[in-house]
Amino acid sequence: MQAPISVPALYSGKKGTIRVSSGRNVVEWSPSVAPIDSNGGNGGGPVNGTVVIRLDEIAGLQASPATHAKARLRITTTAQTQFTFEVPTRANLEALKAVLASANAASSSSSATQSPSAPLTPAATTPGAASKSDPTRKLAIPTKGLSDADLLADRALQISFLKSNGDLQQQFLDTVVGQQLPPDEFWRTRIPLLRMHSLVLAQRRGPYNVLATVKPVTTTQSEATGGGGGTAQVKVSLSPDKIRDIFLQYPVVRRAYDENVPPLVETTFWSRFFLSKLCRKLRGERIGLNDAPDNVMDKYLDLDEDGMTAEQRELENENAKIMRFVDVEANEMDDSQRAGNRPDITMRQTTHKDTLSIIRTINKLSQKIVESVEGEAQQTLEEQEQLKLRELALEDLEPVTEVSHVELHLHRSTDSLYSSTAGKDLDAAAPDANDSRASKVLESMIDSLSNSSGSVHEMLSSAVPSSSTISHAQSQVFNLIHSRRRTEENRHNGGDSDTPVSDAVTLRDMKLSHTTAIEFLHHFWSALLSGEPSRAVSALPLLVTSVEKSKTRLEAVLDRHVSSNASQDPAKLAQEKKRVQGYVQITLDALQSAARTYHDLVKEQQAALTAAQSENTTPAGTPR
Amino acid sequence: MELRSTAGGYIWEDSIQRSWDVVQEDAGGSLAGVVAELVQAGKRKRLHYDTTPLQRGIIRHLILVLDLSMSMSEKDLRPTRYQLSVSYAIQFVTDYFEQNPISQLGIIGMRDGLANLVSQLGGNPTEHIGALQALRKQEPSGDPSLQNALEMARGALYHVPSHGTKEVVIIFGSLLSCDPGDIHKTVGILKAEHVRVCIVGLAAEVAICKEICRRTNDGDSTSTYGVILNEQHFKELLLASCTPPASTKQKSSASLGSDLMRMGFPSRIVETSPSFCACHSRLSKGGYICPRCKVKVCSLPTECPACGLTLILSTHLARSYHHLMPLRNWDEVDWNDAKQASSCFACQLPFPTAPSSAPRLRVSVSGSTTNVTATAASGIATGGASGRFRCPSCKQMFCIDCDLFAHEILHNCPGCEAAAGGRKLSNGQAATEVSMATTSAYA
Repeated sequence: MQAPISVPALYSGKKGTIRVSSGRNVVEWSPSVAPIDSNGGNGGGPVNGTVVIRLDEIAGLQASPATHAKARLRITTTAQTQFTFEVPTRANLEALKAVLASANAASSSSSATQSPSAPLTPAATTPGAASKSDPTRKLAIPTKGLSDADLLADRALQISFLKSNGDLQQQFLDTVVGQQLPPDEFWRTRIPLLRMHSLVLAQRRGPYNVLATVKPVTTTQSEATGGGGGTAQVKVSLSPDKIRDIFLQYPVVRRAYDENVPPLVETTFWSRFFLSKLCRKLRGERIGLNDAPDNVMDKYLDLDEDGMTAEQRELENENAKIMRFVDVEANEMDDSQRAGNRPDITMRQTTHKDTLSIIRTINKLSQKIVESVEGEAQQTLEEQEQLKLRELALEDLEPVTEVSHVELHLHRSTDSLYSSTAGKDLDAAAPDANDSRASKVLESMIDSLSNSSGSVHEMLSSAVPSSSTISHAQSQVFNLIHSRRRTEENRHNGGDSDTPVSDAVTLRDMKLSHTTAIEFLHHFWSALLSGEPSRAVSALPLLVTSVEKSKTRLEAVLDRHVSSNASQDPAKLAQEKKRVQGYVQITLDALQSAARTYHDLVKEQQAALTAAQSENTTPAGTPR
Repeated sequence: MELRSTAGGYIWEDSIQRSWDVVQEDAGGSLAGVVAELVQAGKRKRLHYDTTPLQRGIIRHLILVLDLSMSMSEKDLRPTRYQLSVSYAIQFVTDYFEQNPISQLGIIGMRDGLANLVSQLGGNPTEHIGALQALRKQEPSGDPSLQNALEMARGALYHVPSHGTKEVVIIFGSLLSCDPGDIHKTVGILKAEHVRVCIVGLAAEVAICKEICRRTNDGDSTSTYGVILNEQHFKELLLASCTPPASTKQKSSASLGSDLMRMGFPSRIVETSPSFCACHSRLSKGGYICPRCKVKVCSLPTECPACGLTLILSTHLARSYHHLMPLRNWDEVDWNDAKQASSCFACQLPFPTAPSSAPRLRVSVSGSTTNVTATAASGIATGGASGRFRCPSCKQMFCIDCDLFAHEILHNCPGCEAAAGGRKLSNGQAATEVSMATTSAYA
């Protein structure tokens, strides 16, 4: 084992040091400067705190290529999380990588000896390999881990989501890192997004017919080695994944490979394989007479795709249990040939031998794929038989199930809407469900409507508009039309003349502060309306301060803007301030009203407390 | 499947009807009359809705799943299955939000054995359409995986509250699904979570698709799984999902108990200088102020970005309601009653007169340029119909184009609205305002 190493490294844009300590079997990155506000109590968080990766959890190490401008090291853990560190010099990177690789190998081998079922094997440096060939998996995506609490607790998932989404990362840095918003609060409003991200990460590809996806491309160039007379050359691109899948699905290819590759070069093997009759057979294509013979590959032509000869197969079949209803011997009474029918195409001796082999190949392959997914082999013969019987049932001949829908009983007559007995109709139209809350609200609505000086129609007819209100309304309408026209014209001319370029900096700052303010407002309202006493008590005071701070921040941007063009006269300055303030006036009002709502509620609650002289009233912040 | 013909026997026992036998030339050797007749027959066909008011979930959450696999590069639909599906998907998004303004939609693609998120569940049609437009430039590849797509759709619909529907609509062009696990388990989970799946098949009926639809729709796979016959049929099958699904007895008994939900009805503000909106943080003039938290949003309907209140206009609600209270079908009027009205109540164009004068009238009308009278006149050729349609409640008569317009776009009867206003109100103010507001939403 090599000596522990300590290298300066950047992680998610922050300076720090990465250490490999062999004693604790961990890689540790810690920031060199303290986080901006170290008294916040969330110092243990994954982003502004240290990052610790256990050595035996490392599944992959990837360094950026030497030609790349920046020297980066990416560590992939077995939990599929990725950490990317930026190392200042290439030499440091190489040293770090070497230490990590050896330390990882040592720790994984030691853990393998300790427990034979350790998940990490040396071959698992490509994470897909381990998960794909794992036969024990059943369901694509675990049903747990999608609940709100699980998602909130999954820091690794959150980090990977932040990395995939630049805007969100910026917002996270602004609010959580910069403004002390608790990370849980930040994520609580984004749980659906997190859930989708976790699903994106968790999903896996199903097994598929590999040979069908490998498409040799025939080129007529004669530049390469050993082409067929320089006329046509077949190009096949194979990834390690594909080769592994081919071996898995066609043991005969694996056998051919094992037996022939030491004399043959690997590339030659594959190029010969894809031109051979064997490949055609496995693909389920017809073998033509003019297919070139291949003395190596043709040896395996008589074996089936499991690498067994016909005799071996027969021997195995004799021992295998056969489902009763496909067992010809057991069903002799029902043999259709006795009634004079020709045997089925698959049961004839002579004809269509190549067609049959194609059918068999494809059928066997799809069966194998399905079995590899469902683990059908573990089913008993009876279960399989039941399944087959259900499959064979002709669903088209089943009677159509009638679906009964819930009919609404409405009073169709439009008169009822305007009649004085509207209350009765509303009662009749309401669902029969004895939802006391709904009916109570409806009743109170009807009451308030009927109590308010007769009907709506009377109110409408009694209100005689004066000429001044009419002209006021008219001017409003015309103003609206004019302003709409101006905006439309601006849009047509391709620019918005209302936003001068001169205060681009102010605009950017303001936009940032505005976005942050809205973010805090969102958290404030969601905490206030959550109805969870504990959350309201713990998070609300903090959020209210943040909301109030947002307000001061916006005002600070305003002041900065005004002071930056100090050369102008005061009247113009005031005008300018008013103009820029207009951009955020609504936001300022909203912040104000949020703070007021909170303080009103607190006051109300305190009043209630003093009135009731009791400690056990509802906590602050629960909505009325 | 309907195996019985109108005659009572099986359909395959009927004599064959060739499409060219249906079309007959008239005396002058012209096909114009026949074509007009076919057009009208098509219109009539569209008019026969089932107008039973059913309980439907009008706050919908729908995930549209697109097959983006190799099989979509087939050219049996022009230009390709892929391109046509994307075009129809765009149309679906538009129609969906037009008919269900308070609903949400998300899009998932199936490509290379994985499910890709095309657009998040949201209520803004332009975002979805933008994402679909971007999809146009890509190429289909790999195999589709129904299981991955369904699992992802399930995740996207996980947080939907109980008052909203959870639906998945899949456009499926392949004949296989390349799944990493047992799809039947996924279907079981979907059923338990009340997710309903509709599939539009582009190639041939696939057993697993039928199974998915059957199990997630309480045994009803006939109305939820369809395989297209042609482009037109594709469109019809897809756009059928714009109508909110009727809740079945089993399902509603399981989750009975309606609940109230909060909604905000903000009014529009007019600004002389621009200000930041809360939804995009962009400078804009005018918008809507959330009544609870006072932030500005650009467009409705939406969810308030600050306090999460659903913000809508009353016209949006009204637009969603027409699914719950469909306008009743209007009756065809025969010639005996036709004399009561000489012109359409809504558009005021004259009706054709009694059949004795029909041949002469046709000559005079054929010179007319208006489309409406031409189609109305061709109603005579069909014999029985007088080209008039009567609303069963207000007894007013309308022409076929107004009939179509009222049933497909307006969802209100002009006659009933006018009658209600005229009779009950001295000045007719409120009633016309109501109908004006509703109609302006479609303008």
